[in-house]
Amino acid sequence: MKAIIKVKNVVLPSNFVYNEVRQLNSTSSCSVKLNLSESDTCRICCD
Amino acid sequence: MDIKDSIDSCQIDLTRNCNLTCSFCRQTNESDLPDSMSFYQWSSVITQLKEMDCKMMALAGGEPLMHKDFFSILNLATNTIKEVYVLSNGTLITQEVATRLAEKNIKGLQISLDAFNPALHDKIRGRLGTWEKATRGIKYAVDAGIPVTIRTTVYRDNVQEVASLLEFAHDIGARIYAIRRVIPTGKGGSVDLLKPEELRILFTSLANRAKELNMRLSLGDPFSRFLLNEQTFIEGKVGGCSIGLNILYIAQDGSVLLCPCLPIYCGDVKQESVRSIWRDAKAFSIARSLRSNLQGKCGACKYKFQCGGCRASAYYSTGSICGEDTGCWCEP
Repeated sequence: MKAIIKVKNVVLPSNFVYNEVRQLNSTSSCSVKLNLSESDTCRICCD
Repeated sequence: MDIKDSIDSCQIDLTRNCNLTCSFCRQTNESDLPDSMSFYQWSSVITQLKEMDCKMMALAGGEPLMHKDFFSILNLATNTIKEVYVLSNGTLITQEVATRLAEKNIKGLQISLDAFNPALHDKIRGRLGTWEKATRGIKYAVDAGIPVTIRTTVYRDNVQEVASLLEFAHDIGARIYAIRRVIPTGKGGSVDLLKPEELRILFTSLANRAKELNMRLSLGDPFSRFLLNEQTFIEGKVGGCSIGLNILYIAQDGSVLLCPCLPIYCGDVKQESVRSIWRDAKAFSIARSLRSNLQGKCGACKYKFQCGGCRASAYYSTGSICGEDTGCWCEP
């Protein structure tokens, strides 16, 4: 992979606000219409 | 439950070692992290993840089957975590290996196949004979009763192959056909990426054909799932990019990074507990705050909480982790 990025080197926009998402809601209906996989969230997977 | 208290799923890269040299690999084979986790350290990690209610684990690499303790770690994982997946290039899956994997009741085996044309797949994967070995591995796995996902990573060179690959996946008995665009990290930064409109046409066509075949299709990009699905927007729902929300990635040296494609350092499981890294790492705090800080068309998009775009794609194409995902065709 590319070199590890240290968080102190991540440049954030000047108006960046720490406003953390605290709840993750399932929206599994997306698996119905197209026969997509169960999760609507991005499942990490290997190339 | 607060997302800081649990992790739904985790990808572990067991090793950087691989028998192939793929043209778009996120591991560059130059600055890769060393394999420095012992079996006992992986064992501790898996136990900690179970305590955090982790329900899914993917063992990957490199090529995970090249790890000397692969089956020991797999055994531990399948005895501890509800759903365990193996992500492989398929070339090392003999009939015997397929039988051993089936005996472990893995939830799924993902095998990469980037072209229906053997010569092109071999060229992309950097070694002659790869297509033959991979497709043989798929057949062995299907015959052993393992739910197989055939996975294609798509870019300019293999876009014409995708329709045939979907048919092949259906005909050979794969459970899922999965596709995702190349993310421009590692060697992926040097290949010709598809434009948003090309992705839209491709994914739409695939979705329509998958419906006709009654074949499960997995579109890896956050935006493609619901833009094609016409999913109803529900205020307050959060989905899409999962970094910092419900998924953890651990590299082969124990480094916790935001994502395999976005190697922002969060901590080291050899030094700290998984729980403390997940709760307290600043990088995760940033990741959990991204949805309110997205810029460009991702920032203006009504789906920004349901999708969020791919942050790795945004980072490498705009230079900002808050930037827009330039691969998305949505115009808010």
